Amino acid sequence: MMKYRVLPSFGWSQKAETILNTPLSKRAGVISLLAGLLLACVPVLAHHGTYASYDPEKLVTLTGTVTEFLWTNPHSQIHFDVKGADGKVVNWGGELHSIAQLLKSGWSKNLIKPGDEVTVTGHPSKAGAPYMVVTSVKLANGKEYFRDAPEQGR
Amino acid sequence: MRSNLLCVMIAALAVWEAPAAAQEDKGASRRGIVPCVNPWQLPSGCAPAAGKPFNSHDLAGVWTRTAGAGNLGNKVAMTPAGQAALMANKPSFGPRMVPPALGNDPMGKCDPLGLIRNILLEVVDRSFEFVQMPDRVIQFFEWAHQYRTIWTDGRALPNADAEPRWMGYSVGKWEGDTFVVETTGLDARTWLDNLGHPHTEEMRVVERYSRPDRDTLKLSFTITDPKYYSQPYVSDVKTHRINPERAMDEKLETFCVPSEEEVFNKGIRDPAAGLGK
Repeated sequence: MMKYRVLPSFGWSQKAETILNTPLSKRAGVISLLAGLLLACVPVLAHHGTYASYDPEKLVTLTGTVTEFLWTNPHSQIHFDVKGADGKVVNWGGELHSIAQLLKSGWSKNLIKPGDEVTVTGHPSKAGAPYMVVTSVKLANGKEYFRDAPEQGR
Repeated sequence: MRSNLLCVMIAALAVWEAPAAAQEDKGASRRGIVPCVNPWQLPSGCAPAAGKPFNSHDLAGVWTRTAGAGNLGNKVAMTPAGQAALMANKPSFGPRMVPPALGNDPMGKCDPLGLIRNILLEVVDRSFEFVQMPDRVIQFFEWAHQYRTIWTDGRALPNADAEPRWMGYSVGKWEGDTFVVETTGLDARTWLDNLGHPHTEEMRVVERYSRPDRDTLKLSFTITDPKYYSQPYVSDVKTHRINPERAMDEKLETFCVPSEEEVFNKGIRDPAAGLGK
């Protein structure tokens, strides 16, 4: 069994403890607002049939070693090996945006190379296959690159 | 793009820092009342540039849609033949969506999208550009670097038996301050939208563009295709904002490359749907 976290879409995480430690009167409005906004966001994010293939209700975060990074149009892709608790290695595939969209989000052709250690977050395949549509990739240097990030100069 | 960005920011904030999220939200509210310096910025809460000089018969520029539907909708009046053709199309969007690997969307092979779908696809994260020449207007679409020509030299549309084209054959003329474009001869292999709405080669499209102020372009279109649609389809009025910072070739070479998409389909799209690697 692959070891990874499955997070509800409203972003529950280890940091949920932080939220829980905040008085209810202060956090309830924020949590409601964020949950509502995220529900509203799902149709907006559903471009290119993405959520016909991937589960928008789940997020997985995996750390592994890059085996392939393909910088292509209209979709790029990343493949990486993830070692499970049993020592078994599974090669995961991640769907990425087009080159133009990734450039706008601060990515570049040589950002990721085979052999790099990465932590990848995304929505997993509904079919249960080791694939995801990537929402962010964190590099070994701590820098995180998002699928949709602020555009420079726009 | 901005709405996607907003969603990602909300998700990130929800995950990592609830108190920060509260502050950010207050900041966004504050930003909403600050006058917009750049009217093309999205989301744009600022008023159009009323009173600024502009030529209402000059449509040249890069335009990004800020309001209007991106598909025909789920309640389009169709004939039985049209409904059957719709059901044969298996889209990856909307209520009938299937994984792209199990569908038959022409977009999945980088086939040309055709006129209407290109117009509809130019959502907030994409743009089209008008270039005006003495005898024609060229409209460039960001997706796949496709374009169409709108002839303004007074020529007539071709005969009904003319060879169909992916983007059709278009003629345009000014009616007052409205640029009216009529198009026929559209290749029936294209879908009209992401929902898989079909059309025949007899489809006739009339687009109406107007520029009510310097920064705004309005568009609505009518589709007449009696074999598939029991009454003409009239779109909503779509609003576009001029986007002078966004030249079409600045970082935005969004080609749909068939060979690269084939590699993607085999490497990600198909196995993600459980079809095996």
